[in-house]
Amino acid sequence: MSESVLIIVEDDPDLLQGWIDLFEFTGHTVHSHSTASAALADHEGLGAAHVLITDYHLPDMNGLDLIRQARKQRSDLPAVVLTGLKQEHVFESINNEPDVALFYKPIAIDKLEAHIEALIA
Amino acid sequence: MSAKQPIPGSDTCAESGATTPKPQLPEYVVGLGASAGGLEALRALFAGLSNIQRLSFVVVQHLAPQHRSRLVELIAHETQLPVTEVEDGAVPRPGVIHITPPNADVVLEDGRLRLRDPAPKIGPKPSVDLFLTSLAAQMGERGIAVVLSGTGSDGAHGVRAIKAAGGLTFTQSLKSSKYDGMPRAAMQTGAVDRTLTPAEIAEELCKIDTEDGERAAYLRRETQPLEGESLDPADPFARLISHLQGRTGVDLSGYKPSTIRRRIERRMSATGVQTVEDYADYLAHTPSEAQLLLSDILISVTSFFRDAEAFKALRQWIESRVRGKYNGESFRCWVAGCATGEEAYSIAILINEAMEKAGKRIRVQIFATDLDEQALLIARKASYSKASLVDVPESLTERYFSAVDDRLQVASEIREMVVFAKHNMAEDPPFLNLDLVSCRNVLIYFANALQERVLSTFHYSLASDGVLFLGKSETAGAPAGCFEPVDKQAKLYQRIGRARDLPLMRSRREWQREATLTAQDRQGIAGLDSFYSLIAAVAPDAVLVDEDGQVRQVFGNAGEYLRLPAGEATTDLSKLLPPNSALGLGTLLHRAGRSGRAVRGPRHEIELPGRGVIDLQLQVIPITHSGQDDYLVGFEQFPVDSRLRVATELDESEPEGPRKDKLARLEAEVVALREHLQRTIEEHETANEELQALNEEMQSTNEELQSANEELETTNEELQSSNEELTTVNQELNVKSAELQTLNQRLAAIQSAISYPLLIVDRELRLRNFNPASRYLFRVTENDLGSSLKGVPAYVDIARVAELLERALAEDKDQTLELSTQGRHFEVKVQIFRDSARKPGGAVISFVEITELRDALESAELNQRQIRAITENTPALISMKDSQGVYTYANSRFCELAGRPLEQIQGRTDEELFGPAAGAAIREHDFEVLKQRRAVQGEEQLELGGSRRAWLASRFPLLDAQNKAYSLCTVALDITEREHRQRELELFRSVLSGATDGIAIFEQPRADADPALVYCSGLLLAERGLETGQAQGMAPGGLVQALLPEGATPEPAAVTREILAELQTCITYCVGGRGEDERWVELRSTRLPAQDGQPGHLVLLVNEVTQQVRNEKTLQEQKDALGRFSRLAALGEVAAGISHEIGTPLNAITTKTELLRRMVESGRIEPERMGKTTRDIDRMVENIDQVIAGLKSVSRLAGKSGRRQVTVQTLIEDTLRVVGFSLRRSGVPVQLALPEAPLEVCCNPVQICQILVNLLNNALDAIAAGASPWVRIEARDADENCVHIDVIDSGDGIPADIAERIMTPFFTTKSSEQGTGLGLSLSRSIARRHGGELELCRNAANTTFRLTLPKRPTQPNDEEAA
Repeated sequence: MSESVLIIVEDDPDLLQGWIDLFEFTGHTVHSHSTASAALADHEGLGAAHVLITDYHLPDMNGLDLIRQARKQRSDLPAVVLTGLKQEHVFESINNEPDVALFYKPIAIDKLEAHIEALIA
Repeated sequence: MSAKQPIPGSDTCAESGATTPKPQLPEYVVGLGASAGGLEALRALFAGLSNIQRLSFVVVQHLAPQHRSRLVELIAHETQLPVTEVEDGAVPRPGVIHITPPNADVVLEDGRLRLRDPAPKIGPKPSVDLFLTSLAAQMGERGIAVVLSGTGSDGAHGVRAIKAAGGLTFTQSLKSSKYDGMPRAAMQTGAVDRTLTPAEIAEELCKIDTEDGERAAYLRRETQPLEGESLDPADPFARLISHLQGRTGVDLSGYKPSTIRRRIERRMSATGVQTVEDYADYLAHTPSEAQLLLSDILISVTSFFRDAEAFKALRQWIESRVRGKYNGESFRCWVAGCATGEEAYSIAILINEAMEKAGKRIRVQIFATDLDEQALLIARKASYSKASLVDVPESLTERYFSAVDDRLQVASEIREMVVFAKHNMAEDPPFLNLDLVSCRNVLIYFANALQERVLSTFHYSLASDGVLFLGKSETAGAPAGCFEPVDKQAKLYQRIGRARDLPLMRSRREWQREATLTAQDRQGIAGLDSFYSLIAAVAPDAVLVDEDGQVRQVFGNAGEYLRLPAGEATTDLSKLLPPNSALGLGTLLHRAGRSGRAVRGPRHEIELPGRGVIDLQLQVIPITHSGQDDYLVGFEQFPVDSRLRVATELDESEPEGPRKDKLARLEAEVVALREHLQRTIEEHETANEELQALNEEMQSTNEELQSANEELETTNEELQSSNEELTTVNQELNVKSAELQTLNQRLAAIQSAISYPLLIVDRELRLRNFNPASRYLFRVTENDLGSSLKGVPAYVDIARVAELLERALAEDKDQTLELSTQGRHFEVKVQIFRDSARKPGGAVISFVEITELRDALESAELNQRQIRAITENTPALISMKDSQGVYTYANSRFCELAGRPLEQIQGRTDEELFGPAAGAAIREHDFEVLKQRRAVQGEEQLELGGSRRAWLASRFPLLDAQNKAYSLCTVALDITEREHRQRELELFRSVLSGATDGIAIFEQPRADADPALVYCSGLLLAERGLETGQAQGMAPGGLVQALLPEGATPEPAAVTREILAELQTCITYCVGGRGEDERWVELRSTRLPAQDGQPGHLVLLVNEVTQQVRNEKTLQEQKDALGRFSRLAALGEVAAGISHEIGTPLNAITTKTELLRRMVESGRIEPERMGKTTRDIDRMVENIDQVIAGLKSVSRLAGKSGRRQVTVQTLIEDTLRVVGFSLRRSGVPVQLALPEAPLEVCCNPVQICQILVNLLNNALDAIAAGASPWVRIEARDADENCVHIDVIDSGDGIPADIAERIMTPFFTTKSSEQGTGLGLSLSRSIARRHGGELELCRNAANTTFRLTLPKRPTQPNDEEAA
């Protein structure tokens, strides 16, 4: 697995820490944020990131809106949305947005990594 | 009729001036004369005038007589002052500009402006001179003349007259004048006060207008050169001065008037004339007087070293100056106004002295100049009386003068230093580079302006450190920065400052070189000297006479032979000579003149007083110089012829012999004399004849010349005046042309803007003009202009148009015609226009399209007829009122109602028609309509003619274009009858209400009798296959039995009883069928008891209500289903919440375990990190445990369904356990405010927990994003029956609009993916089922939801029961 820069947005601190530990251990550089607005303010992280990974339910906006906003800064940024709720409209709206993958919780970490790997390559 | 009376107060007065009082004149009248170029000047001048109170203006502008002037308009454009044309007899008004009309002279007479036919003489009209002269006579000092641009000399006399009368005079400056002839002529009179530009004149006039009279008077005193004694228009002093100037060529305008006046008065007394006028005449006829007067004015009083102190200072300065000079340099000096030369010689002597003292050899040049030739003659002779040398020190007299006879002659070395020349210092070019200028006692005679000018000239003349020497009472201060005093007492001034420009010299004399002047001077002296020597030689005693025999000069002892006869003093030699000598003088002069040689006359014995009798012979020598013939008459004295004397003596005693001899001699002499006389006479006659012929020739030539001259002059003046007129006309034409151009452009624009065809034709129907829109109807081009209208290709019947035109022109009246072509209609309008002779000059034809108008009119007419027909035939009352409530229209129905014809209704109000009460009621309705501005419909009742009537009325306002109600229209349908019937029907309908299926009416004659069927709806019977006849008379029970299927009803009598038991009954029967086929019937009965002899009635309604019953059942089932579903939904929500609670930590745990797995797999075991990770996992598992525990307690609760008594504390504890994880994770603190004592409620604990979980979750969601969020749960006793549980969060309330809807199903503020929206509405329905309530407290500061629960069991409702 090659090393790359990830930007992760997750409002649950435990889960966020889990992701950070896991990806850093794997050798990625991780920019982590617990709100969408904090992530959008991280211009450096957005500029450097290879992939944006975000929870769908964020306190200030949903993950899809975050991706759309982030792409105003970087239009080519691939993104991954993680969600625990299997809701039809979420699935549809994410499907309509290009270059966004949807993973349902609990996350199959292997599959997620494989996806990220594919994106970076 | 009585005689004509003058209109009082009228401004104009054409009647005889004698009866009208002299009108009040304005304070000042300003006469403005102008000619060519005057318009411009007048505009500029008047533009500068505003708010004039005291001045009245009369403009006299030269104009062409036939020309209609627009001067009034043109000037009115420029000024705020009112401008009027002068009318005969008008009074000049202050602040008004009066313009003289063309071809009229204007004069001011008796305070009125009178117009006069101009004099037939050739010359510009109106005459400025004429007006100004009259102005001077009328206004005196209050007349002001202004002469502006123009050629010729009109106005000059007028200016003089104004000046003479003491008025003020202005001219336009030459530079600013377009044509400077008139201003120049005016200025040449010397009577002009100020020469200014028009704008400056305006300024001055404004000053005169605003300032008081003293200032104006001062202005006058300051600038007026002479003050006249009389008010005669031709001021004698002015005439005198101008004459003097003409004769001598000296400009005296700079001299102080008082000085000149004094001199003239001196001469007047000297010549013995009484008045200035007489003196002027005398001066005009006496050539020598001019010279004498001028000499007097240019008084020459000087003596050697006049004013010793001053000369002392001058000597010191000269000495120092001479010391500063090198040998061979020159000392240049100018003695201006040297008079008879004493001063020039004095200075020469001083310089010479200084030179000797310093031992220098310097070239000395002294230019001594004066205007007075006589004085210069004396100066050149350099011979002075001893008296004039009294101030000269003895030493100098000896050194520089030699005595000749009893006079002192200036030494030749001094004489040679001085050059005398005639020179006007004010006009002629000065000498240059001078060391010294002496100008003493000259400036005092000059006015200030001239003084300054002369001093500037001196400044220019002097070398840089030169000195000016002035007289005792003079100073050189005036042009500042030119001179600085060296010795104030001695009036010595040093030249200072930069070289300046020479003031403009007026002289036409060329700059005479000094050498020439010197040469002339020397020659003059030499010539004179030799002349005198010659005379001394030829005729020692002689007189010089001119052609007329007037003595000019006396030489030698000629005076001895002359005598002054008694009577007027004379210089006529013939009168001065002894009588017998005088006789032949004329002949002698004549002969000498003719022969050009000296002639001698006969000797005559004369007796001289004191010398006895002598023999005198006159010798006449003609002297011709500078074109003038003078004669020197010499006196030769012989001793008395003794022979003759003896003869005379012997007269009485002479002997015969000698007497004969003598006689013979005398006779011979007589013969000789006769012959001489004859010859003389013949000569005389010949000469006379010659002269006569010559004279005649001359005369005729003269006459020819004169007439030619007159012709030329006339032509010239004609040309001039037409030229001026042309110029003026041209100026006006230019303005007019510009205006015309603008008008033309506007006309073209107007024509183009007119959207309908417009043609203009002349009297011969030739097309003259057309507008672009004409092409709609005519194929007309520019080439058609000028061709006949009939030939223009057109889309309309041009022949009819032409006919119309001809008629219009013939009748001289505008015509119109309607014309149709291709379905379009036009109104053809022919409008005649008139030429300047007021005759029809042609016509304007316009084609206004009226197709639409016509269509509209037709359709409008049709509409009107239709509406009229409708309104007249409608059963309704239709009326219209204006906004005042006055009827403007009513239809025939209305007229019938009012009982009056339409004419009596129009113009009346409701009060007048229907009485005050009804009127007021109607008015109220009207007001309502006007207020609402829309139609109001409704039923109205009115008391009319004693009966109450009802109408269905629609009232509506008619709005105009401004949306204002101008009229009120009412349409009313009389529904009085209908109302009655309606009411009855209403009653009937109430009886039959509910009769959907069938109705039966029974009659019950008595209360105890069975009712018998009298009516049954056919439908009901038909359904059962019964005939009406069969059913008649049936009792209710029987009918029911007959109607219902067999076996479905109880016994008929029982039914009848049941029905009769109450006044109204309702019985439902199930009639046959099971399940889906089940049918229900409802019987409703109403009993109307017998009354007033009327039999009682029973009304029975039979309805099939199967569907109704079935619907009710379905509804009940659906209600039950909903209750079940909602319970399931609530449970699902809890489950979803719990799944999330557990899912999140599980996800985290997954990441941790994955991390651990990788560590292990990669061999990168970091004990510390692993420890932390496992601890994290433990902690999370613990969290999950807690959630599960909460879940258990909920399920435990769920297990015991149904209501029971629980404490609020337990409920809240359980709730917190369920949401505990969410709370902890959000970090929002939860405050509890619960009473100590257990608070019991009766409820289904699971459902209440659901409500609380729902409320807490909502609160967390709402406040998560806010600053320092919190949640509080309060519980308390509300009253003896209820308990309140409040869930409060830190949010600041819910917006009012949302609060309204928050409890409705499916409402949510969360985005659609979060929550179903069922929460709050479901929670409320749960609470209500408990007999409690859930509500949002609107007034609380924070968002507060209040749950009310009963303490004890309440009546269980449907769901609970089900």
